[in-house]
Amino acid sequence: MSNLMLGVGFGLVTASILALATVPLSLQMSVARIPNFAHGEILTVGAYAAYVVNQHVNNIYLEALAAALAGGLVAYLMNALLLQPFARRKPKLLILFILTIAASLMIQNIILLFFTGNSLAYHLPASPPHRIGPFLLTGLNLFTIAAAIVVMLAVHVLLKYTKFGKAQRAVADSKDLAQVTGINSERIIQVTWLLDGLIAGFAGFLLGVSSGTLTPTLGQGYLLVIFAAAILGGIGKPYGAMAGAVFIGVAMEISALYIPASYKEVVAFGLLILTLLLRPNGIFAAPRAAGAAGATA
Amino acid sequence: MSPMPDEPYLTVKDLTAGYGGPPIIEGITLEAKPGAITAIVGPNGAGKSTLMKAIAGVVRPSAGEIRVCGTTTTGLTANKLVAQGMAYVPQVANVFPSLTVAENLEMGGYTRKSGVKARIEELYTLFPDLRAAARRSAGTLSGGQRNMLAMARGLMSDPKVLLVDEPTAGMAPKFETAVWEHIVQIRQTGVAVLVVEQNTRRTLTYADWAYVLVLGKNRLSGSPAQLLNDEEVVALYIGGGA
Amino acid sequence: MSQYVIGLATTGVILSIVTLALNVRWGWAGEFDIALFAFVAVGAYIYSVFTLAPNNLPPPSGYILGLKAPFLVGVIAAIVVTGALSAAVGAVALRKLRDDYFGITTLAFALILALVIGQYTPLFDGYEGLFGMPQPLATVAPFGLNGGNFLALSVVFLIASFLVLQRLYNSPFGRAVRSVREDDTASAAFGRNVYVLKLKAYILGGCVAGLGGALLAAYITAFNPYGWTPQETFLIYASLFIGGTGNAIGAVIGTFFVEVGVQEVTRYVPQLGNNASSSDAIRLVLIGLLITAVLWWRPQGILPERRARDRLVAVGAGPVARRPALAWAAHFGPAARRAEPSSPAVATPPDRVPAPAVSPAAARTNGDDTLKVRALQPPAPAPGGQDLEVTALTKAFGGVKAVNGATLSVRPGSLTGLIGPNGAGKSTMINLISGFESPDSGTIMFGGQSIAGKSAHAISRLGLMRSFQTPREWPGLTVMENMLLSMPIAGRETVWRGLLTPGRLRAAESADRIRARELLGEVGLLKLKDEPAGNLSGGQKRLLEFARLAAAAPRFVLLDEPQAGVNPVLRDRMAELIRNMVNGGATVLMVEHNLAFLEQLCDHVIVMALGVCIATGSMADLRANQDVVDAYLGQVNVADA
Repeated sequence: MSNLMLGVGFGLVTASILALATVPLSLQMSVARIPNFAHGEILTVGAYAAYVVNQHVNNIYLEALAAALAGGLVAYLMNALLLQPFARRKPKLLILFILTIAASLMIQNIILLFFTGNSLAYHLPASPPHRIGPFLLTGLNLFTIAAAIVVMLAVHVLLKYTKFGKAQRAVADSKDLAQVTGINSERIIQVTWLLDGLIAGFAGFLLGVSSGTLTPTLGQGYLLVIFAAAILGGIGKPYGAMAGAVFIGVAMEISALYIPASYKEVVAFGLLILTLLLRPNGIFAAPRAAGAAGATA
Repeated sequence: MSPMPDEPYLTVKDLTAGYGGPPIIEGITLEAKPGAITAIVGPNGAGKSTLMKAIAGVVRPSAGEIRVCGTTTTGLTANKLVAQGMAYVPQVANVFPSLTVAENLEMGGYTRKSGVKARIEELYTLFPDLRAAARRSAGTLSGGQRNMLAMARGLMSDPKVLLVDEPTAGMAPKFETAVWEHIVQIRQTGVAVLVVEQNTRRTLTYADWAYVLVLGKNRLSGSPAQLLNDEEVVALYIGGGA
Repeated sequence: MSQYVIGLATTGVILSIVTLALNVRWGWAGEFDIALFAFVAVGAYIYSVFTLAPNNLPPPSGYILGLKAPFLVGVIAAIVVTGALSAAVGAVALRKLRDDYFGITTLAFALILALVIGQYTPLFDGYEGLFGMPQPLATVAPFGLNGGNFLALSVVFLIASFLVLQRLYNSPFGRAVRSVREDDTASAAFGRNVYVLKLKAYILGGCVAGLGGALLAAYITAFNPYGWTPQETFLIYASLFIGGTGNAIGAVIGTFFVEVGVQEVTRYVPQLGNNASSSDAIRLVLIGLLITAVLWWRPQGILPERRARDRLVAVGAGPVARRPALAWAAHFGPAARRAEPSSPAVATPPDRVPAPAVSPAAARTNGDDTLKVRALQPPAPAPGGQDLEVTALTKAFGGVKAVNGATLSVRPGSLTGLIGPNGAGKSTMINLISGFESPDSGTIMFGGQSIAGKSAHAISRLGLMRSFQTPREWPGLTVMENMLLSMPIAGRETVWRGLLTPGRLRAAESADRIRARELLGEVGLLKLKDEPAGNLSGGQKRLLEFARLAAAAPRFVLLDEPQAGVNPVLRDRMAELIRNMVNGGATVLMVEHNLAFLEQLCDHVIVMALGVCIATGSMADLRANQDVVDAYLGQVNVADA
C-alpha cells in the first residue's frame, strides 16, 4: 500500500507539471480550434530560457520569470506572425495544424542550433526528500506542486472574475457572437496565446527541473501526454484539463508499479487513442452522436 | 404610444450582399424609426436573414450604404458597430452557453464605459425571468429564455437600433406572446427595433411599419393595416396571385 | 561514379518510394498520416527478421526466425506484414475522426510501436537494433562493391512501384479514392463506402512503405529505432509538399530536393562553434521554412496534380459494351430529342426491369467477359402501392424535434413536391430518407424494403439518390471524371481490376465516356468536360449535378431546392430536365421554395410544417386550405396551451 502511496505522491508531481502544461493548451485550443503541435516547444523554450538565467544567477523566481516570458513571447509571435496571416485566407483547418508542425520543427532546431544537442542541467540547490504524510517529496517537488496550485487558482480567478477572462470564455463559445457583442475577438485570441505561452513556458521550467536534464526534444517528448490530458478533460474546459492532467499523471505513475516504468507513456498514448475515438469532446461531455457517413446538406 | 420623431435611426440604401456567389439581396432600401417596430417579412429565400447580417456587419455588403443616426457604418466590422449604437440579436447561437446569464449580460455591456451593474438591474426589471436564472449557465436555458437573454444582452449597450432575427422561431405559441410583449416594451424606451419574422400575420399585428421582401428585393412596404388585408401578400407567399 | 554519390542516389531512390507511399495516403486519399515512418520501420524489421541467419546476432536471438531467406522473400514478407499492420491501424483510426485528430491518433500508434520495439529487447533487440542484413548483389562484380548494383536494383523497384501506382491512380479505384478526398459526402451520395475506400488506400500506402523499409534495411544493412522518428515522416511530407502533392513524379523530385539536395547543401555549412549538430539544425529550420513558404505561395507544389485527360480508347472489332441504361436516362441525349413526345407518366413504366447482367452485345467470342456488369437490382415497388412510404418519422437534435411524427408517401413515377415554411423539417426529412441522418423512430419503406437507418451509400446503391441544397461536386476532379464517377459502379473499382485488367476497364469506360459526353451535351457543359469541376459557376454546378444524376439513373430522385442559386434563365432548362427524369420512369420528390417553379412541374404537393405533414394535394387545393395558408403566413390568434 505504501508503494501505491509513493506512486500517488510522484503522481502528484507529474500531475502538477502536466496540469500546468495542459491548461494553457486547452485555453489555446478553445479559441484556435486546432491543436498546437509546437506546444511542446513552448515548454522547451521556457526550460532553456530558465537555463540561461540559471547560468548567471541562482534564483528560482527569476528563472521562472524568464521561462514564462520566453514562452509567452514565442507563443504570441507564432500566432501573430504565422497562424493569423494564414487564417485570414480561410484555409482548411488541417493547413493550420501542418503549420504548427513546421513551427515545431523550426523552434526545436533553433534551440539545437544555439544550445547544441548535449544534455544540459540546471545548477540547483540541494533538495533532500521530506516525509509528508505518506508521501516522500523534495523541496523542489513541493515547490512544483505549490506553484501548480497557485497558477491554477490564478487562472481560475482570471477566467471567472475578470473582464478579460469572461470575454475569453465568450470567444471560446462563439467567436462570431463575441464580435457581435462588441468584443474584439482577434485581440482576445492574441492575448490567449500570450497567456498560453506564459504558463506553458513556466511549465517547461518545472519540467526541466523535474527531469534533471535539458535537451531540445524535452517538450516534444511530452506532447502527446499533454494532448491526452487536454482532450480527456475536454478542450476549452480549463478545469477539465486539470482533472485530465491529474488522471493521466496518476494513471501513469501507478501503472509504473505494475509494468516496467519505461512503458508509462504507452498508457498515456493508449488513453489518448481511446479518448479520440470514443469521447473526442472529453469524458465530461456527451459522446459525439454516431451518425451516417457524411454531413447534412 | 409616444409620438414618433421623424428622423429614422437607421437608414439602409440600395444594399446588395451575398456570400461570394450571386447576391442574395439586391438594392434593399429601408428605414427604422425610433420608438417603432419595423418588420421585415417575406416568403422563404427572401434573404431576410442575410439582410440582417449585412446591416449588422457580419456579412460584408458589396454595394449600398447603411447609416446609424447619421453616421455611415457600411463596411465596419461587427464589433465596432456596437459603439455606434447598433445591437444585433442573431437567430441561432445567440447566447454564450458556458457563461452564466449574468455573465452573458455583462458581455453585452462590454463596450460600456460605466454603469454595467445598473443597466443589468434595469434589464432584470424588464425581464424578470432572467433575474431568477442569473447564476445558471445559459446553455441550460430553454429556447424561449435564451431568446429573452439574447435580447437583453443586446440592450445592455443602450443601443439606438436593435436588430432582432426571428425572435419567436421554434417557440411554443404562448411564449410568442411573451416575446412580443417584451419587444413592445423595448419599443416604449425609444429604441428603433428592426425585426425579421416568419409568422407574418402575428408580426403585422404588432409592427408599426413593414417591408415585404421577395427573392432578395423590396417588394412591398406599408402600414400593417394595409398589408394584412392585401391579397397580393398572400399570393407572394403561396403563389396563385399576380 | 564515386561511392559517395552512389550512396546519395540510392538514398534518394529508396526514400522516393516512401514518398510515393505517402502520396497514396495523403495525395490520393487526403489522409494526414503521421505514422508513415513507423510502417517503413516495420518493413525494415520484417525484412531483417526473414533474411538474417540465427547465428549472426548477439543474444537474445530467439525472435529471429533464422530463415536466412533470399532477398525477395524478405521484401515480400515486409510488404505483407506492413499491409496487415496498416489494416489494423487504419481500421481503428479511419473511423470518422477529424483530420488533425486522425494525424494525432496515427502518431500515437507510431509512438507506442516505437516504445515497444525500443523497450522490449527480446523483440528486435531494442535500441541496439539489428545489423548484418545481407545486401543483395553486393558481391557481384563489377559494381557490387561500390553499391552500384544495389542502386540499379533500387531504381528497378522505384520504377516498378511508380508504374503500378500510376496504373492504380488512373483506374476507377484511384478515381474513387480521390473523390473521397474531394468531397466524401458526395462520394457516399453516389454509392461509395467511404470508410472502405480510405482503408484500402491506407493499406496500399502501407505496403509501399514496407517495401521502402525493406530496401532501406538491405541498403544500410542495419536498423535501429534512432533512424525513425516523427521527424522522418515530416521530411517526407516536406518532399511531397514541395514536389507536388498528388503527383508521382513530383514526389520523386521533391524527395531528391529535400532528402538529397537540402541535405547536401547544408553539409557544407561550416559547423557553428563546437555544435556538432549545427548543420542538421540548420537543415531542419530550412525545411520548416520551405514548408511554410510552399503552403503560402504554391500549396500545390512544383508539379501540381495532373489533370485527367479524357481519351476514348479506339474500340476494336465488335460492339462496344454498352452499359444497360435505365429507361429514364435514355430520355437524355440526342435520341430523346428525335423521339415522339412521351405519354404521361404511368404508375409502372413498362421497361423498368433492369437489363440482364451482361449485355449480349458485349459478349466476346473468347469466352466470358470477366467484367460482368452487376446491374442494379432495385427493389420493385410494392404492387399497386407507393414507391416511398414514410411513417411516423421522428428526429430530434438536442431536444428540438425537427421531424415530429411525419408521415408521407410518394407514388411511383410521380413528380411530387415537398414544401413548407422555414423550420418545417424538410431538409431533415430529405436527410433521413437518403440516409445522411438516422431517425429516432418511425419507418421508411422504399419499394417495400425498409431503409430507415441504412447508410447513405447503401441507400444510394438501392436506387434512391439525392441532390444537395448547394451542389456537391468533386471540385479537384474534371467534369468528365465527375461524370465517370456517377455512372453505376458495377464492381469496377477494386484494386485487382485496376491492377490486372486496365485495358478492359478502359474499353468499358469508353462506353461511359460516350454516354457522359451525350449527357454533358444535353446540359450544355460539353466544352467544359476537362475543367476541374470546382471552377464552374453555381448554375453550371447545378447542371452538372443533374447530368451526374442522369448518369447514375437511379429509380428515385430526391431534389433539394434544385433551382436555388440558379440564374433565372436556366430555370426553364432545369424544369425540362426534371420532367425528362419523370417521363423516363423515375420517381421524383422535390423540395422547393420557389412555388411558381414547383407548380409548373408537380401535380401533387405535400406540405410540411413544424415537423409534420399537414396537407397534400395540388397547389390549387393547398392554396384554398386554411391550415396551409396559416402555416405560411402565421396565425394571429394563438390558443393558450
